[in-house]
Amino acid sequence: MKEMDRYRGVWVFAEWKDSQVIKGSLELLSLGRGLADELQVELSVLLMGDRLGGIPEELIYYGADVVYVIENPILERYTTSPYHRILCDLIRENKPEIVLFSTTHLGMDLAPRVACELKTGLSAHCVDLKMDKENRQLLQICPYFDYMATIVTDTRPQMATVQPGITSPPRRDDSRQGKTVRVEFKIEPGDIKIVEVEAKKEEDTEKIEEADVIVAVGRGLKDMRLAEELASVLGGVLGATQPITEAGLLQESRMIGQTGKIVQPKLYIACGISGAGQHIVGMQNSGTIVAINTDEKAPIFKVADYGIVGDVSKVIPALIESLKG
Amino acid sequence: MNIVVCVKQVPQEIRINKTKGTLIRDGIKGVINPCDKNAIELAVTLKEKHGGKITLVSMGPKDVENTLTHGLAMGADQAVLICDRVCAGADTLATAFALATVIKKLDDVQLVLCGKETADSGTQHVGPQVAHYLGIPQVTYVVNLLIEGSKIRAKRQLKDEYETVEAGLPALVTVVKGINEPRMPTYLDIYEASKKDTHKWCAEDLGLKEDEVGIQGSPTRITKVFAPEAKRECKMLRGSIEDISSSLANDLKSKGLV
Repeated sequence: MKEMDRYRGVWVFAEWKDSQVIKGSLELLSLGRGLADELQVELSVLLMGDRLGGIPEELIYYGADVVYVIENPILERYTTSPYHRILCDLIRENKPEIVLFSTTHLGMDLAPRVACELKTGLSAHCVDLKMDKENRQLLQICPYFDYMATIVTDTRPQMATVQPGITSPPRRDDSRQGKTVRVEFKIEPGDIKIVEVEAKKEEDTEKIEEADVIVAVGRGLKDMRLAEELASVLGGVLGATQPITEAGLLQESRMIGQTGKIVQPKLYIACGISGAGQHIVGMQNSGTIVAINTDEKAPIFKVADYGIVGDVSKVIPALIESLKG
Repeated sequence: MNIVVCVKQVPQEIRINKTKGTLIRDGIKGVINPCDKNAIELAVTLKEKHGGKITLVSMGPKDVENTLTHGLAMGADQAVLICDRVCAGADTLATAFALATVIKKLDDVQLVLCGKETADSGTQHVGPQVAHYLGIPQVTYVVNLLIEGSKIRAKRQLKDEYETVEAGLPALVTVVKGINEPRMPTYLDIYEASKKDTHKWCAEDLGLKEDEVGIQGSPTRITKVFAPEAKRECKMLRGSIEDISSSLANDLKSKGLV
């Protein structure tokens, strides 16, 4: 038996906040369930924290076969080393073939370090997962500049961080049965001490992912006031590409794309956005997409329902007039 | 207190060989990864306060030297470039291993700084993986950093909150762009930087084996690169701006979106 064949099972690392599993983790349960069924193995969920209450049962209702629960006051808030230690030990002992994380601050802090200790491959920001069933190889589809790339790992477990918002949470079924395994660990507090946590000010946490209409701004638009006016006429909010937030023209909380937010408004108007792969990932599932750009060949038109080739600073005022009329 | 800053050269413009699915590097100018400039700026301000020596560490082809010059002109003291064909094609794990091997060879490194992510692949993996190979704590997404004796106090920028943590030195910190405004080197700075040392080390100099670096040392591989499918039929609106606007406004109204 090859060493690789000793690895079986799909694992999902679950995150929670305010006694609830976060949406990104529920989405991982959707993806993980699909992969586990295809491979005919169990779907297990890793849950760490303190005073976890009914969360393990919830995870079963959402599709887990097994929930590993590690409960300890030291784990109440995430710090790298205790989480890293526990996860590495559990993976070594149980040998799952796939381990999935959500692309969150926690996931992106933890997963690389775990992959490093286990000397295994990790892909980042996956927007789709497929299975090469014959080789039990996970095809990890990630944005690659303006393109997409399929990444595979020749070692086990195969680890991936997955973008939130690429699928829906599974249906909750409170008649589902599963197994909760409580694991005891001798846990050391670790080398990082949290001294203070402060909530961000509201302006820094603009929840654009909840808006029905987004007017998104790219480098092709010089005057933010035009976009603001269009957003106000439509009752929407402003979004932005990375270059815009990096230039400080709009707050980082408005950034849409791979490293920003994944949005699905009913209407998305892309103003002067050429459509780099990293941005497209964040908006392609919007309801109706309108793209305005000077370059007819810009990739944004491939994901748009309506395309206007022209100078966005001239198109927006005309559009505002028509919408008001 | 000696500081290392990990630096990556990224292409200024992205072009892809569509048949091979590889990056076209010929004729494309390489620049310093934007976030790495913030890490260098932080290193220079810490040095101004606490003293010590700043070393830039990078891996890549020979022309990365030009990119490192920018960092030296910002105020770093020396640079090390891992430059070897066998290191080409490395994924994040193999890259982190090579960088950590260099850092271990430098004297009394107390702090390793990285940009949060690179502008090209943007995985955010290398920082935590270097920290693991060095066996030191990592503090990611840092927007403010203080050194207090043998400890750091770092403010992390998370989704809805800021978290301030303390960690003992040595430690690795990844910084976000908002942490500072990188200085622009003057011509004089660039001239002075040309006199500073950039050490070029090959895999053998570092005792790196072929199966630890480059493609062989990388557990992940790219099997296919493809253009995203056109998911929608795009209706191109043509005519005068007024006609286009009114027809779009009407369509949006009839769909109940306005």
